[in-house]
Amino acid sequence: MPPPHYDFLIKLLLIGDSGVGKSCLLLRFCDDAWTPSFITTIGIDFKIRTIELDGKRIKLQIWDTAGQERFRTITTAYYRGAMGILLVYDVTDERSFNQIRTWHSNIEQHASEGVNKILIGNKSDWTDKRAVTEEQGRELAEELGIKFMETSAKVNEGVEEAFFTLARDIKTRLIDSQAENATPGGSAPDSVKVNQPAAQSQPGCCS
Amino acid sequence: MPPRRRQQFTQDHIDQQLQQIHLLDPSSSSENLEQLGPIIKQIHSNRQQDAYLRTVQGLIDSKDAEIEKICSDNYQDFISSVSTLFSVKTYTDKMKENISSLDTSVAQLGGGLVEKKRALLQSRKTAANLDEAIDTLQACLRVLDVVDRVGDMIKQGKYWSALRSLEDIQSMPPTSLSQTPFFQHLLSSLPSLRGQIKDAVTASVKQWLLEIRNISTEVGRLAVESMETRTRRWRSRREKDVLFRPSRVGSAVELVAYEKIEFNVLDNEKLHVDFKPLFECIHIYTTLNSLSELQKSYQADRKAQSDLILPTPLPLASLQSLTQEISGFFIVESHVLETTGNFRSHRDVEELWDALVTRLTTGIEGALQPVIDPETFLKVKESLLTFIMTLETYSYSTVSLHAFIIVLFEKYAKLLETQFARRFEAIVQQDEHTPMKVDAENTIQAILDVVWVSEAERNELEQTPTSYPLPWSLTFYQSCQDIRTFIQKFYAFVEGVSQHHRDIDELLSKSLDSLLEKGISRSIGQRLAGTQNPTQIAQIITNLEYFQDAGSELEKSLTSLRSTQRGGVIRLSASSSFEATIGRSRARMSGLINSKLDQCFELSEYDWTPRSRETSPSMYLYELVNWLTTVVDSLVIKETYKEEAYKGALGYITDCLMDFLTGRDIPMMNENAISNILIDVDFLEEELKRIGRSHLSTVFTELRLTTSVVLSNTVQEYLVPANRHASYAAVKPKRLQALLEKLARYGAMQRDAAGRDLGERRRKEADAVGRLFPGENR
Repeated sequence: MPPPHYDFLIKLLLIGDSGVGKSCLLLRFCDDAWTPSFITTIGIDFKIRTIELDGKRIKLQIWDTAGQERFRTITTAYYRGAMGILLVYDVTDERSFNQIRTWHSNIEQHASEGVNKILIGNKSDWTDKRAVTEEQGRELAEELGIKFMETSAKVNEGVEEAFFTLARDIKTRLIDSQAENATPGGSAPDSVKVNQPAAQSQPGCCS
Repeated sequence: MPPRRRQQFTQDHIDQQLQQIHLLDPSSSSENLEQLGPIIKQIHSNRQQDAYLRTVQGLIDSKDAEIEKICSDNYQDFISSVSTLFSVKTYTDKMKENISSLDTSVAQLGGGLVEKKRALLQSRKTAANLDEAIDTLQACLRVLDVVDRVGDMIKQGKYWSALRSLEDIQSMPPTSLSQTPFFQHLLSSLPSLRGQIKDAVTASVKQWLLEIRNISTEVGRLAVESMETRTRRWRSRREKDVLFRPSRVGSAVELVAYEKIEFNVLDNEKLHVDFKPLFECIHIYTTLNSLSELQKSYQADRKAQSDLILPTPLPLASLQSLTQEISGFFIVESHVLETTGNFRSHRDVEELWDALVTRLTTGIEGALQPVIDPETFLKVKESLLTFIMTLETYSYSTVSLHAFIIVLFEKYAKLLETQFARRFEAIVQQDEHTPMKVDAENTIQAILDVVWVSEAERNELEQTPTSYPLPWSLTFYQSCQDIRTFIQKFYAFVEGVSQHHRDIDELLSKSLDSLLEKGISRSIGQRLAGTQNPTQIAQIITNLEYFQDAGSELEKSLTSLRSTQRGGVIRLSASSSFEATIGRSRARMSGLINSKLDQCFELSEYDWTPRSRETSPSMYLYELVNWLTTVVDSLVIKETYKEEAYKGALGYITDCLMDFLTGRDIPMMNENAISNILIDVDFLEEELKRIGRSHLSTVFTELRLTTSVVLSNTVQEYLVPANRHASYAAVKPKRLQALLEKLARYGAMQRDAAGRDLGERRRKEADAVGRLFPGENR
């Protein structure tokens, strides 16, 4: 296996109710594609995209979780490894918006401390079906103390920005601060540095 | 006036008469000359004046002599007699004068009479002539009247009477008229009159032909309708009685069973076709001995008419009315053939029929050239079939039309195949390949009526509750639906076409096979490439398996569907194609899984020269295994396929790990790194045990043995051939050499002597292993 062609690896996680468009966001961001068909994600899936931020090649491994309740145990196992989490709801589905608080408390419960989060209102192109206003979304985000963005995977609106914003926040929190502190071994538990001979591989969460 | 016999006076006679004069009493003063009158007259009329005068002269001379003598003797007397004579002479002159005037007056009277008589005679003659002329004229008038009536009769359409009248004229008994130029002229004009009759009768037939042409379509329509009624009646009868099943309308059984309900298309409440003008014409022409002329012109006219029926290019939209017109045309022909004795020959009609059938088939073929909609073919066939059945009852040969229908059918089948192949392609493309659900719209019963599944499976599935997923996705259901439609359409064309059963069944199985293979199996194969989701691929595999099973169910149901007719068992051979596509799907599935695994390995971030050994497995591997078990276990697919997926995935994982250890990408590593890999392998084996697949752990045999040779420092042992074969059969020398070289390289980099020594030893070991089997570079 050749040496990795990236400087940093960032793991992201998409959560939210079934059918809000998590897989579509991922498909748009990683493959720049869109499909109208609804195929339930079975358990867990991931895609990879390498982006460049401030001259650094950052590999994003984005985990797409099943929104369905029956996969909950499988999906929560991935919370801990995530450095950033996208909380997705559907602007045309008020229920999915109301569920955000539950998802948020799941994060509190299972994810690493200080994990970066962003609230995403997807399907923003579907104006005549809209059930949640942008203002409502923004208010909730403020209340949860996280960033907010509306997206449309279908017309490719805000998708890049959402992922980039989250990636940048994580880079600032983990990588930049680490470089400043220059602490060997890495103080942040989830930060990753490759191509450094002395670096330790991350401990598994199953340990 | 009758000529009167003239009295010839002889000399004696005159003398005697003169004597008489002489005998007259000369003494009487009054001369008795009365007696002389008739004598003179007689003389006069006898034109003997000269003789008389001569006699008289002689008498005078004798008398003169006598007188002289007397005178000489009786002078006195003489003198007195001279005077008497003078008076006689005077009287005579006078009488002569009288006679002359009398004669003149008589002549005058007679001439007038003669004139009158002549005039009378002339008048009589004229009167007789006039009578004669009147008679003749009247005779002429009669004849002329007949001739005139002939004209009227022609006008009134009484051609036969007209002709008879002409004959009457010709065969009139000879009369005074017969010799007249008038009659000759009349006779000479008879042929032209016959010509007029012929022309008139021909015109009436032409008019009739025009009318026939105008009602042909209607005749055909009625015939077709009656045939359709008959077909319907037979169909219902056939459904009631199994014995009648294999027979079609027009077959012997049908003909016998057909309760004759006479319907004369040429004479019914809606339509009455009058053949009188034709019969009349034939009659007249026969009488005129020019029937062959009529036969020729009739055939030519009918030929022209038949040519006019079909326009070029043939408009398919009006095919029905065109075939009806043709039907009407030939029904009329058939009737004419039957009713006119020798007027028409079978050959004439067949000639028309063959020509028209050829034109019709060519026309249809041309019109169908650009058509790609099978429905149009079906409609054409329907029109043709009723046409064929209708005309078969009139004993027209329909062999070529039947053959033509089979030709159409082959094209139809091809088009149908293309059309459905496209539909199947669309079905496969549009399917999301997620399980189909039973709902209010699609009840389980309705769905099971469409799909082909085994009896056991059907019984099991009948219990499926609403909104519960079925094993297959829409592809299977919709394809079954379309296959049914396809078969239905396929047989729709054959309905009523009795011949070539075996051919048709063969064609159907061929078409179905081709559809299943190209339309479904191949489309699914193409769809695989664009499918990223293992769940969808699992669904595709399940669908394919159902298609395989459906194939044999389909064979059964097709054979029974067809058993209403004759023919053999229908065999489909698409199963192998589905098998192949299942193979491709499985390959695609493992390809997808491997590419995910690959991505995981890319993020493995092993440290190949760690200072210490780990006690827990790598994070990436944990995620990988979690993903793999979640995905594979949740696949709705046969257990063997899951096993295969796991086996493939673990094989791939082992290959990746072996590649780390012995491949060219990682230049060096230390024993700690090997130990860490083994920790990961331990974890994998644990996981396999957890999911109940510990038997799969055998894939790690080579890795474990190879690393154990290194970690337990048993290279020397390995170099002994007997040991190698007995205990290290799975270890490949080339790979062991590569691993040892990596360790040697690491050792060479060490600052401490022990490390360098170890590295040196590894290098020697590597060389030794490398020398083992130069040919064994596996």
